[in-house]
Amino acid sequence: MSNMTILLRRELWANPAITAAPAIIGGLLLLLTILAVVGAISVSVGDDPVDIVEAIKHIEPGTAGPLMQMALASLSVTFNTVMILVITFYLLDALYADRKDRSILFWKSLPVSDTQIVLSKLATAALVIPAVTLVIYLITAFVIYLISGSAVAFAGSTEVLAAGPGALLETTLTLFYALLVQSLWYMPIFGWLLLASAWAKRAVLLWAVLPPVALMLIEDMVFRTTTIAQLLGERVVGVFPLAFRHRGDMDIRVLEHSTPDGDLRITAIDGLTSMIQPGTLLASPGLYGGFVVAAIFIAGAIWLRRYRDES
Amino acid sequence: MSPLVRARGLSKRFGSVAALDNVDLEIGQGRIVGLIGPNGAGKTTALKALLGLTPFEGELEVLGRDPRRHRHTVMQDVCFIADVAVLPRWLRVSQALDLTEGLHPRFNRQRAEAFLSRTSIKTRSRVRELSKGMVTQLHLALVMAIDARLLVLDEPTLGLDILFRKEFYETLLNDYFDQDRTILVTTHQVEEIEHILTDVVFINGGRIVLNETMDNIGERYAEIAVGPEQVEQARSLGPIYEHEVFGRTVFVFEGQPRERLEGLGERRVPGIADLFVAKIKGAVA
Repeated sequence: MSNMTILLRRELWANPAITAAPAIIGGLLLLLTILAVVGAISVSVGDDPVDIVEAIKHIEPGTAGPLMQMALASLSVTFNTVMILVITFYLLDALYADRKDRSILFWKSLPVSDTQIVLSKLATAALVIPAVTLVIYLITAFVIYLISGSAVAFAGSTEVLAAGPGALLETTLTLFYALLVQSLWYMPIFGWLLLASAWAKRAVLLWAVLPPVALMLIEDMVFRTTTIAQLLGERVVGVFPLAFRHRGDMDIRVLEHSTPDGDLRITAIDGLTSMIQPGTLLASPGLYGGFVVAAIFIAGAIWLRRYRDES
Repeated sequence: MSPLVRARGLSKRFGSVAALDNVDLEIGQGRIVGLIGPNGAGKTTALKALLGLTPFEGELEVLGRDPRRHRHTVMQDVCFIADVAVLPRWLRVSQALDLTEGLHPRFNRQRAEAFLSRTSIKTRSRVRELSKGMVTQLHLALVMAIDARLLVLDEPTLGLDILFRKEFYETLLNDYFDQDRTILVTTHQVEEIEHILTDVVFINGGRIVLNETMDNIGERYAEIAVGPEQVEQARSLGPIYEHEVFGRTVFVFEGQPRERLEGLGERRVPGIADLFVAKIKGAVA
């Protein structure tokens, strides 16, 4: 177990992008928030600029919470998008970098099994990177809450300030759940990227992308069907429809405001965590089929790491 | 005492080429063994088989275990430096210490730090900022602080200048080696290690052509520089190799009793490099 701790630290040392990428995004979003608050940039609906301070005065009473949750949810989507890119490039490099720079024999000289090495990379992708992202999200969200809450309080309403902690809790719990189910659902993708990373002598990205694309093309030409493409598409975007539910009656009206330039109407969900619905996902055969495929890919990656002799 | 390494009929082929051809080898505790051979002779393949890094045929035991099946437990008692310059470039010195401490049960951090404090290496530095010689010192510091029973060095001083090469072996001999430890080393720079070896093994074309203790080499082999008038007499005694040096002919004899070679000229123990040439070229001729 102590081996695993030090191996995970190793991954953080070797891949500063794991913390740097979300930190940079967080910093940029904070900068945008500050600029929006001081009025240096403007928000537009369609082509028309919106006077934020004026709009905020028209927020329905008691809806500052859902509004903040919506804003923070879009923040967490941004973090998640960046994180998926970080994980993808991390995994492509994970079993390739030390073969390329020839330090692999140094790692092999340590009394650590290749299974432990490969599993440490998988755990980094599935657990460590999401955990780091979640923490940086929470820090960013908290500071944005302080800035925007104070700005609104300055304009005469303490609603945002009061609703903030609840909204932070709701969105953080929701993001935690989303990252968890996403990691479970993406296991076969993680496994595939590790396999490509252990296999490729160069051009890992091509090895990762070309085989599935080739399979799709062959299926299309030979059988005129698109089963593989559908399976892959479902794997890439299919987890949140399974893991969350959304009904129209969850929405409440947050703001309806007419300006000379046009109307502004916003609805939001009252309590993001009410969308959490693990049952459908846990009952989905796709989840368990994914685990089986992932196990095969990961076993292949371990085998290549252990027995391949390249030097 | 049972040997640390025991190989029986070790073979490995790459297509039609035999990298190792039915090799038998034993290495006992407390020895410093030089494995010497031309490029492509099978040295690195032999070491890799020993370390469980490559599949092979035949029997092989390292510390009583099969390195194919128990590689990572074997590695608790075996250390190796493949080519010292290859530590990961992003690694900081302090992280290298943390890692080895965390992963190696026999690592003594104080020992490594004491060794590093005698060098100009800073703990904050990354490997990419160190010179090649400093990377060697760092790797050696890590390895020497591990209480391993077998240390395997594959061309450890490749690409280093002569000062670092000398220092490397001196440190190894003075600060690391003792009766309980065993070192197996391959190198092209035979002259630099022959004074520290206790045993020497020549390998050529995947076969072992010589396996002797250094003490026995003085007994078994003789090198004599002979004047022109005695060349025929020397040849009749069946030298394994001869070559011309400054108008004299230098003969290398194997297994000839001392008294038969007397009178030919001054008898010397051939250097490992000369003996190597004699055995390899002699085998070809």
